[in-house]
Amino acid sequence: MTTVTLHKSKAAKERRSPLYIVIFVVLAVYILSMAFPLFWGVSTSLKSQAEFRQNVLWLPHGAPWTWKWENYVKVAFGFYENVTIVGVGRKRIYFPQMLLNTLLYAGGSAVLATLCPCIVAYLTARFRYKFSKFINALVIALMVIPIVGSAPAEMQMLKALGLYDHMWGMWICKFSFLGMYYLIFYAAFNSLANDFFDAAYVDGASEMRVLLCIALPMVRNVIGTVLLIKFIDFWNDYQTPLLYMPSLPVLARGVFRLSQDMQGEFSTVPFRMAGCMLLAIPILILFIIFKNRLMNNLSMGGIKE
Amino acid sequence: MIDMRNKKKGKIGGRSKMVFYVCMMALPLLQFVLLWLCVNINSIFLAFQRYDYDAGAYVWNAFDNFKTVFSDFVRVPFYAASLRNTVVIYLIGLVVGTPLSVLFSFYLYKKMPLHGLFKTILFVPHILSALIMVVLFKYFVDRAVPTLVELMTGKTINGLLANPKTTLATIIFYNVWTGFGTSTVMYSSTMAGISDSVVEAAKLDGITPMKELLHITIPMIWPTFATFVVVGFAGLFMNQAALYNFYGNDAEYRLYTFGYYFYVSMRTSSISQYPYLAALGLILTAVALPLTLGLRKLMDRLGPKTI
Amino acid sequence: MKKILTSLLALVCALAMLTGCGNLRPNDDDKWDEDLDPSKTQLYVSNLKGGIGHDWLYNVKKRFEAAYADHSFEDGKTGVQVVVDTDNAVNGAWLILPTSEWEVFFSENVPFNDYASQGQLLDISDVVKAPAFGESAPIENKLDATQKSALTAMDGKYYALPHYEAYRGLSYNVAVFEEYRLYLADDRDNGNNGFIIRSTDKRSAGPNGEYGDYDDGLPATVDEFFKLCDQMVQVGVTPFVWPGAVASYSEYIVDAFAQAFIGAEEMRYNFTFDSGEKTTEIITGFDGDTPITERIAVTNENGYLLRQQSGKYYGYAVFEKIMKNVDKYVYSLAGTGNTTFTHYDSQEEFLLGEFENKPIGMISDGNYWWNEAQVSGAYQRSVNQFGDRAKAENRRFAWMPVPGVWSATAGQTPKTELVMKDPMKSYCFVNGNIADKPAKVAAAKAFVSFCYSDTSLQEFTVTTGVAKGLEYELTDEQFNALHSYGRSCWTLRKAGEVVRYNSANRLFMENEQAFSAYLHRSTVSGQTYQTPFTAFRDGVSAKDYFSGNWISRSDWNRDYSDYFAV
Repeated sequence: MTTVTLHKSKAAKERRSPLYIVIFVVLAVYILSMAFPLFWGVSTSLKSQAEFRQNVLWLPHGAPWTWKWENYVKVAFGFYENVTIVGVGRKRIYFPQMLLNTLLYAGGSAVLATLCPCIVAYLTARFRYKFSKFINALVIALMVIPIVGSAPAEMQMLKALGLYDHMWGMWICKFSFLGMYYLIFYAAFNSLANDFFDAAYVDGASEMRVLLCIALPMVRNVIGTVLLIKFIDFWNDYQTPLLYMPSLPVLARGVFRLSQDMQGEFSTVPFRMAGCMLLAIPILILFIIFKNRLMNNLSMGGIKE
Repeated sequence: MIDMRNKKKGKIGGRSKMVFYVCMMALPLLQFVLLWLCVNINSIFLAFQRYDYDAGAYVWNAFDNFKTVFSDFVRVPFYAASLRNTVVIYLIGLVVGTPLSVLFSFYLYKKMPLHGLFKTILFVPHILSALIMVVLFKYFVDRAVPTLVELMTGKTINGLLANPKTTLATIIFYNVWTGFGTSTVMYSSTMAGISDSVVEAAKLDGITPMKELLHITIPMIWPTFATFVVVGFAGLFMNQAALYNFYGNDAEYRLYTFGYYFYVSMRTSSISQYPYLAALGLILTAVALPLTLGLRKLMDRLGPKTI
Repeated sequence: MKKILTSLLALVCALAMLTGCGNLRPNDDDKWDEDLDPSKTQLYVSNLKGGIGHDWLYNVKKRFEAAYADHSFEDGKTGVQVVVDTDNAVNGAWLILPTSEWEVFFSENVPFNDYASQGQLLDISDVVKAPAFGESAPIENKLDATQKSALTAMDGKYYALPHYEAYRGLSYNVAVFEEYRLYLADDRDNGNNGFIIRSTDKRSAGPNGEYGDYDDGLPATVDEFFKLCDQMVQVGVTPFVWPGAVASYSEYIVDAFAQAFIGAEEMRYNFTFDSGEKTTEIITGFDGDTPITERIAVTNENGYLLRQQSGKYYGYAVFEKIMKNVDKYVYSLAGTGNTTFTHYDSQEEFLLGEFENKPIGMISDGNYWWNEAQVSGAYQRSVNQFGDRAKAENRRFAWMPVPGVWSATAGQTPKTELVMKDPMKSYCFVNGNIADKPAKVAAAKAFVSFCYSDTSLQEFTVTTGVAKGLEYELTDEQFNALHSYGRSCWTLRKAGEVVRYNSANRLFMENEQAFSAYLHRSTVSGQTYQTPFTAFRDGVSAKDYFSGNWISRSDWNRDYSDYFAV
């Protein structure tokens, strides 16, 4: 009980530290700078194009219930992507179907794109073979090289392997260890103390057991965070699905189309905003729900040292 | 840290370890060989080839493309601008963006007032796709800002992106402004992994938050921090600084970065121009790779030896 | 967590079910979902929507399927089904032919020499040399001599046919010109600054120097052009609009004037690099502000001198003068280069300005702007807002022929040849990867032949208001079915010379990109500019900009000496 009180008074004192006050002020300014454009985006999404042309910056005219809420309804139910599946025919794919595709694409890809660098980094960090060093250098080297004109070769390979235009095919494409998250995992595994591993080996644990029961739980903070970041990256990725998964359109592709293509009314800024907000809302909810579960709370309890 | 590794090394060598290593490595490597190596290796060979219309194929031409690229470094004035912008954008990101993200993360990690809100908002630019962020930002700086200035001062000014004097600075601001998401989340989650006992012990000694940040937190997240710095540098020549989202193919040369130049060139070039780009890519790699590896070594050395 | 996931999933399913209930897409019809008919041969046709849309293709599809309903392209199947692709991802920038399932393409910016040299296109010589569907003369007869030689230059075979034709430059609002009396009067001293007072007043002869045709009352010299701009400002009309977000649209003005000054034949040297016995005028330097000119014959060896064609300088000079008066001449979001003002916005302002008391005289855009305004919904919105008077049949727009003479010389009537330059490189071609499927080849060839019959060409123009890049006529009825802007473009195309981006010269063919992109790149005092818009705003002079755009002899030799003996 006394320790708790002590903690509380200390914490209160700590909060008044100039460092936190300065950061608070900077963050507050940042939030304002972000809030204005966001607010503008939402308010624009509730205008008609005719109103938007006359009133670019301010709130829509009239009472809130007369604002163009139907923009959202129209995008959600009226906007579609045309998809032609060779051997099947042409179909309209609407927002909800795209949402489902997006969940599958982003979910599956995120898991594999997190798993692969994690495992490879574990191997290279804990097993000091020469090959591990090679992988390390390779990952960095490939981050530096710009790749030119490889799209046809990529398409050919995907079709040859039968990965093209399949959800699982895209997942396999994302099962790659290249990129910065390999290095993040490498750094994480590298900084783990050996004691736990040693103890496990002494107890006769298998390598797989050590990986699953010791190594992965110790970096689950990182895993959770990378998973979240990757999920959002794939949620917003329109290029891969557009090119390699043409008959399974995702939301981001729909929004890309809204921003590029002309579909009558949908090509206006208010509709684009509505589309973008619809793309962002689910992920925002997901982020708010999971941000603590995935990151902070993971480190409570369990092994943390 | 390095000492620990050496101790560990002695334990490796058992056959079962080797089998485990090979089995676990096999699938990722297979994926890499098929979907990276086979696909992209030609892009490297391209640097030593040219397209022959009569043959209808690429033919070898040794180092001709490299010669052309080298002569262009003197000849093409916007290469200098591209290099300058590339470096300036990286440095400002490093000097302004990185310290801010560490400070922000520290604040979030300490669960100071409104940390939940801050964390969400910092991550918003990452959540909203770049397509929409750019539109929001354009309207903000080119429509809202002039209107606000006019309301407040009565003066009519040009949009910040529309005004050539402020364009580059605005683009740089955009990149820093939207760049906190990933690093802040990554840092604060790494910070959350710091052992409570270390922090508690330090607190009993009456450590100030500033000292805690410098002497405990940063050393503890150093590997992650170093990775971000190195990765940022590794992508130096591929960073197009959101220019494509702002301008499509038409950005002015004074805004060019090499990353943008590559991106746009790949979209607009014909088959006979790819070899040139591939050669330029390899030359830039030859410059950036040793520097990146050097920076990595340096970051390791700067980092805390023991934790 | 499970609860949340379950409810999210439930939400998705609920939304998915709701989709079936209603479709709120405006102007929807039944042409979008299509099941394959296994009893027919399928032909997959990909069309780049661009500013042209898909309607024309649905029209052809309907007729083609009917015409071949009883024809069997392969055993066990009768008839053909055209499956139209509306997804720009497989067309345009991301087109990868060898692995594509799409068989016939209509696209723009097509590097067909690149494709053909790699063997990626199907040889359609037999189609081009045979009569189109239901006709007696070969399709080839609809091509002009330059087209024939350029299309077959790779190896003597045809791999592509021209698709639609586009021009870039100025279009004007005829209604605004009428209402505000912006036409020049034949009687220059009529007391109204030389502009007509009543709409029935006799108008000046216009750029072509002839009375009674498409350009009467339009400026015949650059001086008159600026007089017109000043008059517009005076009567409350904004002379120009273009997308501030895409500064390159303003270059269309530079190009329009440059080609008016240079003329069709000498423009073509930019692609052929061969002027034969003839010459073209270039500027070799300036004496003060006066250009020093010289006439040269053009060959592969001195092709770099074409950047010095004197007309190109005048193009910059006109635009420099516009930019010097940007505050009064140009719609403000365009003139300030506002990044939020896109080409759709520019079109919408041009379309609505007349009704909103903010009339705009001219738009710098492609001739497809009118179509784009329809596809993007701007046109429909104008009708919704302003009713009947905003309907196409009541709107009047026209392509603007610009003068290629700076000042009038006393006693001489200024004359400018009408040049319509088509930079789009828009083609129809067949994917070479179907070569070993006889049924597909036969269907594809039949379809191409069908698309290039006069009936289809005419239908294309009536549907889109845009011409295909071949020689054909419209009946009076068809011509009158076009809206005013389409009629204007068609008339001008017939009256003028069309210059196309093609050539049978290997130097051009193998380096096409270098001669079609970044043509306005200029380096002035160590600073390279993408577009004159930025440079002139920075205060760079047309003279310096023009000189900074030149190519040096040594650079030319370095890049192209393979094409001539040094």
